[in-house]
Amino acid sequence: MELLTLGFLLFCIVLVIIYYLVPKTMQWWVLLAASLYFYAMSGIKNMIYVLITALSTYAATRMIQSLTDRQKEWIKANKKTTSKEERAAYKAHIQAKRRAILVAALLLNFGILCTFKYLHFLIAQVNTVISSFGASPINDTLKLIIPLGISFYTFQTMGYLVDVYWNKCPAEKNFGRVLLFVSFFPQMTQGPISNYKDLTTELFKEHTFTYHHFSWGAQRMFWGFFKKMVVANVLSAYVQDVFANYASYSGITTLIGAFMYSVQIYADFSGYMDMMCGFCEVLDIRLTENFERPYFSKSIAEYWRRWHSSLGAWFKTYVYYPMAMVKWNQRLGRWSKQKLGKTFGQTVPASVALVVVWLTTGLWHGASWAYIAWGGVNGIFIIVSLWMETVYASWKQKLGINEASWGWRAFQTIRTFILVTFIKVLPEVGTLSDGFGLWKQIFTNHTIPRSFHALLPFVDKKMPLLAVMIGTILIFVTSLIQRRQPIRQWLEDHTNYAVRILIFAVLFIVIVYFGYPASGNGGGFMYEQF
Amino acid sequence: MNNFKSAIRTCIIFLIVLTILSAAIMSAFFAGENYYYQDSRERAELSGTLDFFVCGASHAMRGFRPDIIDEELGVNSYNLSCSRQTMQGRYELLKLELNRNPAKTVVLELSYDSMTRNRDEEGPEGDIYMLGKLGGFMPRVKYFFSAVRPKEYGRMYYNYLDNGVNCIKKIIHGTWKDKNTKLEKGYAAYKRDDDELNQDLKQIYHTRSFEETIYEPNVDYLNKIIALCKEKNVQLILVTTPLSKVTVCRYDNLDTFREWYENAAKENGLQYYDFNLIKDKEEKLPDSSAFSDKFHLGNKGAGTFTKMFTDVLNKEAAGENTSDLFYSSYSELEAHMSLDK
Repeated sequence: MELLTLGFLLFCIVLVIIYYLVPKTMQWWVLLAASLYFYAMSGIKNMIYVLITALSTYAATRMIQSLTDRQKEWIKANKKTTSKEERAAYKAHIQAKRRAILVAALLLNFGILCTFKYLHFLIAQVNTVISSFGASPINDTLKLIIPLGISFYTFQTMGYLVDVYWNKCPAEKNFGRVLLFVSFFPQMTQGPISNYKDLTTELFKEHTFTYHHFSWGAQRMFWGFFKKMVVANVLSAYVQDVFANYASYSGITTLIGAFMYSVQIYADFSGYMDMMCGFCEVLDIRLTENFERPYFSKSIAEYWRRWHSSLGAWFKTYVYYPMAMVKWNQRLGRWSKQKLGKTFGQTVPASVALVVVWLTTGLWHGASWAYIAWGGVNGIFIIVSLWMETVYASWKQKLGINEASWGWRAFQTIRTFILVTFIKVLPEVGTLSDGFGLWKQIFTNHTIPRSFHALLPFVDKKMPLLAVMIGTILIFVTSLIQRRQPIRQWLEDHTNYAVRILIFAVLFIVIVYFGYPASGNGGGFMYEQF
Repeated sequence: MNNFKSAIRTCIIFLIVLTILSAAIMSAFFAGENYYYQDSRERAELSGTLDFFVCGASHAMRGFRPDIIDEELGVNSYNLSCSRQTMQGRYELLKLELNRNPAKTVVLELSYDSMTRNRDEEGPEGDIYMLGKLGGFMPRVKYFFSAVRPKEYGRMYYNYLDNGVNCIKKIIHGTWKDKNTKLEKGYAAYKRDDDELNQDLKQIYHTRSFEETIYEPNVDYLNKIIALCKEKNVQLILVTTPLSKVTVCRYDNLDTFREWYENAAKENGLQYYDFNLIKDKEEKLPDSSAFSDKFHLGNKGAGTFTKMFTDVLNKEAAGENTSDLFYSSYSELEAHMSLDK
C-alpha cells in the first residue's frame, strides 16, 4: 500500500474509528489486523517471511524463557542438596542450550535477510575471485525481491531475542502480540527500530482518545507530508539528474546537487517519521523518535546519535557493547595500554568495536562496496576523533577558542554538515568509483557557470525550485524553534485556533499544488530500499 | 465524548476553510478563461434548434467550423468537441444534446488514440473540460461520479487548483485580457507555433508507432453512441480529421486504426471518412499554412478542411461515389506521397 495516496488516508481514518470504538483490551487486535492487511497489500508472499520471523522468534524466546525458568526452579529446589560446582555445571548446561537456541534463531532470521539482501552481492564477489583464477563464474539466475521492511523488522525482532536471552525482558506468551511487535505497520517499512519493552508498553496499554493527541498527531502528519512531497520528492528529481550527469556538470553545480541530496534525504526520512509518529500519536501510541535535528550536530559522532538514532541505539546495544566487552578485545586493550600508552591504548577496544559497527552499518544500508566504504569513512572519522580528542583539546586551549561561543558552535555545525554531506553522497551515485568521481568533480572542475541555467541545469519548470527553497527554509526555521520547545507547542502559544486551522488548510493546498507525486520519479521513500 | 466532538468539529471547520480557500483559488478559472462554461451557456441558449453535431476531442474541436457547415449544408450545427474528450464524455454530451435538439446528423471524430487512450493518461484532465461543458448541476454531479474514479479525486483537485493558479498568474502578469477564447458554436481557433512541423521527413519516416492496446471501455462507449444514434434515428458519420504530413510520415501504424474504424462502420452500416487519405489533402492542407501543430489544424486549415468535408457530404447526398476521392489505405497514400517538403 502506497503511503501517499487517498487509499492510505482512508485506511488510517477507518483504522482510527474502529480502534477507538472497540473495547480497550481489543485495540491491539485491531492494530494487528490492520498491520497484516497493510503488509498483505504489498504482496501475500512477503507475509510468509514476516510470519517465519515472528514464529521463529516466538518459539526461540519461549524456549529460552522456559530454560531460564527451569534453571531458576531447579536451583531453588536443589539449593540445599547440591554443591556450588553442581549448580554451576547445571547453569552452564542450560546456558549452552539457551545459546544454541539463540544462535539457531539468529542464523535463521539473519539467514533470510542475508539471502534476500546479500546473496547477489556475495555471488558477484565470489565470481570476481574465481574468474581471476580462470574458473567459470557461478550463474546467478535467482531473482530475489527483497520483502518490504525486512531489514527493519529482522533487526527489531533479533533485538528482542537477545533481550530475552540477556534476561532484560521476559518472553511474550501470546503469539499475536509478538506478531504485532514484528509487523506493526507504521514502523515496519522504515523503522524506527524499537526495543520490545518500549514498543509493547505503548502497544498494549489502554488507549483513550484525546483531542490533544488527535490535533497534535494530525499536525505532525501534515508536516511530514509537506517535507516528503514538497521538498524531498522535488529535490529527488534534481538530485537524480546531478548524480546521473555529474561528469558533465561543473564542480559548483555538483556541490549544490550534493547539498540538495542532504536536504532531500532528511526531508524524505524525517518526513516519513513525522507522518508515522503523528499517526501513532492519534492512536495514543508514542513511537521512538529517530531524529533530533541532526544537521545541528557538532561532530559526526553526535550526528549519528541524532540521525536514525534507533538504528544507532540498536548497533550500540547489540554490536558495539558486546564487541567492546568481548574477552579478546579487552585483552587487546590491556596490551595496547602497555605498548602504546594509556591514553591511546584505552581507546583501542572501542575503536575495534567501532570498526565492526560501521562496516556492518554500511552493509545494513546496502549490499555494495560503496555502502561498505560509506560505513568505513564514517567509522574512520569517528575513530580518529576519538584518538585525537586530547590533541584537539590542547589545540583549542592554545588557540584560545571558547567552545561555548556562538561562532565556534556555528563553525562546528557547518563543518559537520559539509562532512556529512560528502560522506552521504558516496554510495548514492552508483558504484564506489562513481562516488569518488563525484568528489573529484567537485574539487577539480572549477568552471564558473555563466547563467542560472548553467548553474542549475536540472531545474525543471514543472518542479518549482522556489517552493523547495521556501520549504527548506521552513524546515530550518522549525528546527531552530524546536531547540527551545516543540513546534506544535510554539504554534499553540503564538496562534489561536482559527489561525492554526488556516495555516494547515494553506499547508494542505501547498502540499497538493507543489507536492511532486509519489509514484514514478522520486516515488517511494528512500529508506524503504534499505 | 467531548474529545470526539472537538475532533469532529475541528475536521468540519478545517474542511470548510479548505473549501473556501480552494474555491477562492479556482474561482478565477470558473469566472474567466474557462470557455467550456461559456460553451454550455451558448448551447443552452441554442437548445431546441440544433440539428447537426460534431463530437470528438481536440482534433475535432480545432478542425470543424460550424459556420461553414451551416453555410454549406444548410443546417444549424454545433461543435461539441473539447480537448481530451473521452469516449464516455462524447456519449454523455451526445445523449444530453440529442434529447433536447431535433438532431438529424452526428459526426463522431475518431483519431489514432480514441480507442486506446486509457483514463490514466488524460482522463481526469479531460473530465474537467467535460464537467464544464455539461449543462446543469445534476448532469455534472452524475458525470463526476460515473466517470471519475475515487483514486483520481486528488488529481482532479490538483488540476482545478492548477487551472485557478494559472488564471491568477495571468491576472498578475496583466495578460488577463486574453481570458476569453472566441467561441463560434463550439469551435475555437487555435494558434500555436510548432517547430516540429519543419522536420526532415526522410529522417523521421516511420520512426514511431502509436499505442495499439485497446482500452475496452472506449469500445463500449463507441457502441453506446452507435446505439444512441440508431435509437434517436440520427445519421452517424465517423470521421478521422487530418493530421500534419509530419505526423502521417512519422507513424507507421495508422492503417491499423483505419481498419478498426472501417470495420466498425461496415458492421453498423455507417459511413467512415479518413481525411488523411483524401487525395488533394497535401495540396489543400499543407503543413506550412494549414496546421497549428503536428496534430491540430489552425484556423485557416480548419476552414479548408470543413469545406472539404461538407463537399464530400454534398456529393454523397447527390448520389456521387465519393470513394474515388480517397486513397484506400495509408500504404497507398504513402506510395503517392513525396517526402520532399
